[in-house]
Amino acid sequence: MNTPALAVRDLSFAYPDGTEALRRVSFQIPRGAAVALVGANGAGKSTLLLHLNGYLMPRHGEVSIANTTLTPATASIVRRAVGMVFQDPDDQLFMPTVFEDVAFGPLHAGLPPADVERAATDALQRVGMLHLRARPPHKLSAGEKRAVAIATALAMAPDVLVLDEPTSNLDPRGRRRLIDLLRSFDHSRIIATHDLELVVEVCTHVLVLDGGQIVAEGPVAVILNDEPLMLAHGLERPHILRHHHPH
Amino acid sequence: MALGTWVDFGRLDDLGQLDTAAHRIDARAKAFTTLAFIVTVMSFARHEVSALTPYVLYPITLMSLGRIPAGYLFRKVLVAAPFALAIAIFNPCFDRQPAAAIGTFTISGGWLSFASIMVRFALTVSAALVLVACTGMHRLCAGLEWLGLPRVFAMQLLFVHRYLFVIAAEGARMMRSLQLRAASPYRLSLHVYGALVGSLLLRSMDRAGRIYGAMLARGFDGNIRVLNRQAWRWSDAAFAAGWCLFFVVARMWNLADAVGRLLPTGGAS
Repeated sequence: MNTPALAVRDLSFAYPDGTEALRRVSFQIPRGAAVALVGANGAGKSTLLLHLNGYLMPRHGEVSIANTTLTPATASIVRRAVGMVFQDPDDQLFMPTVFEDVAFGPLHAGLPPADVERAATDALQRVGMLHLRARPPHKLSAGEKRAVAIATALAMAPDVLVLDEPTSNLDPRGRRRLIDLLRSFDHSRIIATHDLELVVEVCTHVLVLDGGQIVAEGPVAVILNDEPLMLAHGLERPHILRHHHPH
Repeated sequence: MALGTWVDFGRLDDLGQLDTAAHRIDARAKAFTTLAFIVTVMSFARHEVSALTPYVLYPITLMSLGRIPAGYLFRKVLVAAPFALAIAIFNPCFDRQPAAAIGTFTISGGWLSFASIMVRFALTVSAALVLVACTGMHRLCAGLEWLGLPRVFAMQLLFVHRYLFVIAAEGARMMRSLQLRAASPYRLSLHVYGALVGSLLLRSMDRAGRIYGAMLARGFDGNIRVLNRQAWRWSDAAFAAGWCLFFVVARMWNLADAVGRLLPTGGAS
């Protein structure tokens, strides 16, 4: 049997104030699959994502990437395998230039300078932002920042890409470009989002999270078309599935 | 935010990315030379003013080589000036002994040491600012670490610089929301400002945590790594040696005085 790219088993997490954010969450992401993580605000999506690369260490349950179980000792290996794209690109871009930012990951993975240059150039080319290589990240548009943030993750050649709300704050053209970009990747992807139309276009499977638990999972067409289920968990059936007509 | 525009730290970072003759000099050579400059300038006697003037050549040369706008630098020095002023301002009150005379006008030792402190302040602060503007904080920290600064200090410096922007951005956002809702933000009670500062601290800490998370996610392990670490060249050594020689010569002989004596109308002092 194919080893899943990412497996979460029985993961529970409570914040120090006692708020239970995750309760016995279990799921698997097959290699190369694009899986959406949907749920209302406060459902636990961001907390779950923070466990996938060891920013939060699992205390109950386990997370494994390929065949490596996440522990403090394996965190650095897991972080190289999981490319994380945060919700706010300003949190992610901290170096003085776009190129240095994208090169940060490969450089800290200990690659030789020539390989670092190549990895950063390839990643920027992949997202169509190579022309911005010398610009300071804080001067870019929201769409450009998002693309560069994705390049910072791609440059580490991850097995799994984890994206938190990738289309938030983007204008329609920026959003369209991003959706096309996400569709073009062959990485295993897990995308936490409220943008259900993006889910329809990019993902094959969907996990519905509510109150820190996975309440439903399955193929996109089945889950997102289940109106009672969607409404019961603070979501709605996306417009694109209601009307099959070209816009 | 007026102060934010005035201070404008982001510009310093942009300038650090330029590619000029000054930027191409190795960060270690520039850091070492600037350190030697600061030590020499601070080593003068407390009443010395004229012997300090030749030292202005160092920041000016680096500034013009690095195409750093003088007006921008001047504003930055002014921002820090109140601190030096606070230290120097009492000297004229405590030391009233006559120390020099220009014609019939007598200058007390206090005023001389006041002038000396202000000149040293302007020289050292402008040299440090030019160094950052011609090097970029990241390369500078890596250079300082290579020169022997303990890693923990180099990291502190880098993070203070990084989070300064974070706090400034959070502060600017809070001020904007305050201005939108308060008729006059300057007439608010201390209680409101206390709450604002507390909230700024918490928000900055949250954001700093997220940025640190992003750094960890990309393999940050506490070591500063720099792509294209500059290779040490003979011109870097010549830069450091040439300037250090100049500092020593200007320290041993009062060059301003010597130039004054050479002038046909000079030699008054």
